[in-house]
Amino acid sequence: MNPVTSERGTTPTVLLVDDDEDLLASVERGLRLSGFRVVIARDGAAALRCVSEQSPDALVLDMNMPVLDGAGVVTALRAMGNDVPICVLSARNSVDDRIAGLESGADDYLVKPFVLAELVARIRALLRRIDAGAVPALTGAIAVGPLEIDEAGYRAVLNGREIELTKREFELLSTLARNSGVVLSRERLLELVWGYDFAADTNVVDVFVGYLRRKLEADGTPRLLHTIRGVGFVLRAPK
Amino acid sequence: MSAESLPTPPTPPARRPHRRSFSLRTRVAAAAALGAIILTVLLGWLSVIAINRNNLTQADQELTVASRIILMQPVIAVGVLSLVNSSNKDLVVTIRDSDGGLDSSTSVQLPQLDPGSHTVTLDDVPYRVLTTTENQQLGRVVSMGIPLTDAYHATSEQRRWVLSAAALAMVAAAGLGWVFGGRAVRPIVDLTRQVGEHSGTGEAEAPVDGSGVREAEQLAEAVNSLLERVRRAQAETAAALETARDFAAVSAHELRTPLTAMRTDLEVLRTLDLDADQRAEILVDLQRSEGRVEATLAALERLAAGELTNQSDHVETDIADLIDQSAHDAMRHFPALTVRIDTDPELITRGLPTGLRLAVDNALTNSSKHGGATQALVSAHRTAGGTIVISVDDNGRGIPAAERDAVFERFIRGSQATRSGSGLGLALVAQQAHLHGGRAHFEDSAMGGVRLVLELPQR
Repeated sequence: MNPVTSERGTTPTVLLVDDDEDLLASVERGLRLSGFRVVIARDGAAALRCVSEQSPDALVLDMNMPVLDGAGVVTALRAMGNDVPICVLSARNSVDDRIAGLESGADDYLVKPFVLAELVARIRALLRRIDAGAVPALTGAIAVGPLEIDEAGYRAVLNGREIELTKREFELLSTLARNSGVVLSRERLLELVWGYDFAADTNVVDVFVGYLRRKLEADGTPRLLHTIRGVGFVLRAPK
Repeated sequence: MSAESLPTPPTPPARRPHRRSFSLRTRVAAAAALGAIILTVLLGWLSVIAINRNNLTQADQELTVASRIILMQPVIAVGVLSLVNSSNKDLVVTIRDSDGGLDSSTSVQLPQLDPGSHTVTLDDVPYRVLTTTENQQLGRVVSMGIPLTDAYHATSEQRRWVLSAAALAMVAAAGLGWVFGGRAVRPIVDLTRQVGEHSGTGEAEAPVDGSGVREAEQLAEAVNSLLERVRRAQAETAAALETARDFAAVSAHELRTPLTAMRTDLEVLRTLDLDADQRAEILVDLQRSEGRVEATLAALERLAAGELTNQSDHVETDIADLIDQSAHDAMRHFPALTVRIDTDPELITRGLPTGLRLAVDNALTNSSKHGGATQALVSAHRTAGGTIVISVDDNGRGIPAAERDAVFERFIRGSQATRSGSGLGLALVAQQAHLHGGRAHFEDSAMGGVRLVLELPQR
């Protein structure tokens, strides 16, 4: 495989956080041989220390850890204003969308046991996207029904009240808003929001759509974000 | 689930009882009617007897009154009566002499009778007869009779009345029984509805209430206690299921982690160009991960088997004997480890031999594998109280005091433990202690490492 480079022209650094030695050894080797510089941490506290000391370009983070768990790490990083891409590892292969790390602001998740190539591809895509500058055309405010999106200010206002969104949630919502009335497939959204130009085996779009709906419909606002079965999703102002 | 749990009206199930049952209300009405029938028949019968007797008494009184006049001059009275009497509905008098010969008589002749009151039937007409010798010349017997026809008519009339009253009372009793029975059985009906509305899903629900009727209250009490028992049983099952689900989730997690490592290693082996050293390193890791999966599965299997033991699996077990075997095997498996034994000569108890063997094996394995011990001492003694205490001392690196309780939990590994453990070895030791009614804990060891103590109370 070709070594990847970040915009700084160096090998990108990935921080791998897990409490299991065997997994650390194998995944570290896999990522290293795939062209990343890998640093490891064995618990959440060590991970936070490592982020501040080494400022890695991306995080691969296990959810289930002693001392400080994965969700805690994500929450702490986002609270500090750190937007480093985070892919969380979940051991639970459940259909429900309650993956704690994603709600706290992680960008993607993989269920153990995952395919290394899949992890590598996603890290690369997330890094590329950071390098390219996340949202290119900042066009000011977009309004869809009761929803207003201020792309420059990274704010979403519903019925005159600002709603709290994680970065990835905001990007998904603003992409849908820019294309309001247009049905976007899951693949297209993965490409536009996550930069995945490959067939990623994930339902991360559905998970984030679920989060957005919960936030958009919390105060009883009628549904704006619709599922078009077999096609994808569309943001549409109520008639 | 949804359909069944909805409150359904208390309709009887498809299978009907073998005999058609009547509603409680109908039974109450029927019982009331039956009671009324018995009561009215009894009262009617008594009143008919009373009327009969009353009629006779009346006739007797009339005769007594008449006799006062007649007995003054009976022969003249007969003459007068014979003249006056046009029908046979009036007083008849017959006078006889002492040997029964007829002296004189009205047209209707009374038979010869003993003194006193009698009822005789002449030409289908009943007569009440008073026969007497009172105030008469010697040998003269006077019999006076009056027909009872009127009295009999009156009696049967009265009997008809009584019967109609009985019929009426029966109908009325049934009707009233129906009306009031409905009210009386309402608590039962309410109770039935309440029980029917209980979803039986094990959630706390209001107890049923049968107040108003004692039987209904007792039934409500019985139903409530039954519901309570059902609820408790369901709660226990739910808790067991919850534990099983948790355990399954944790087990899945414990297996997914080494599998992830293995999958990653295999992918690296397959897709990347590696030199011989790298390949060798990966193969070693792969083997270790595979061993871990295997160890975890084996331990899970034993844990499950432990959960499934029952009292009949407990047999006479010689602790000293199994410790000897265990120590022997441990030295074979771990050549670096020397195991000494210090046990009472005889230590028989009721227990699970394979389980206790597993516990001692795991203790020695931990000493060698995770503690790095070279010396171990297994001792077993019976205390004055009858408790058998098995302890395994070692000279390994020990377990930090803060971790000594936690390491007995499933999938909790000590910070000093090596990477290859399943995290279940001490959980199995704790399980065996529990199965034998005892407990397991760690102490500092005089040998420098840690001491695992297993207490087995006398059984």
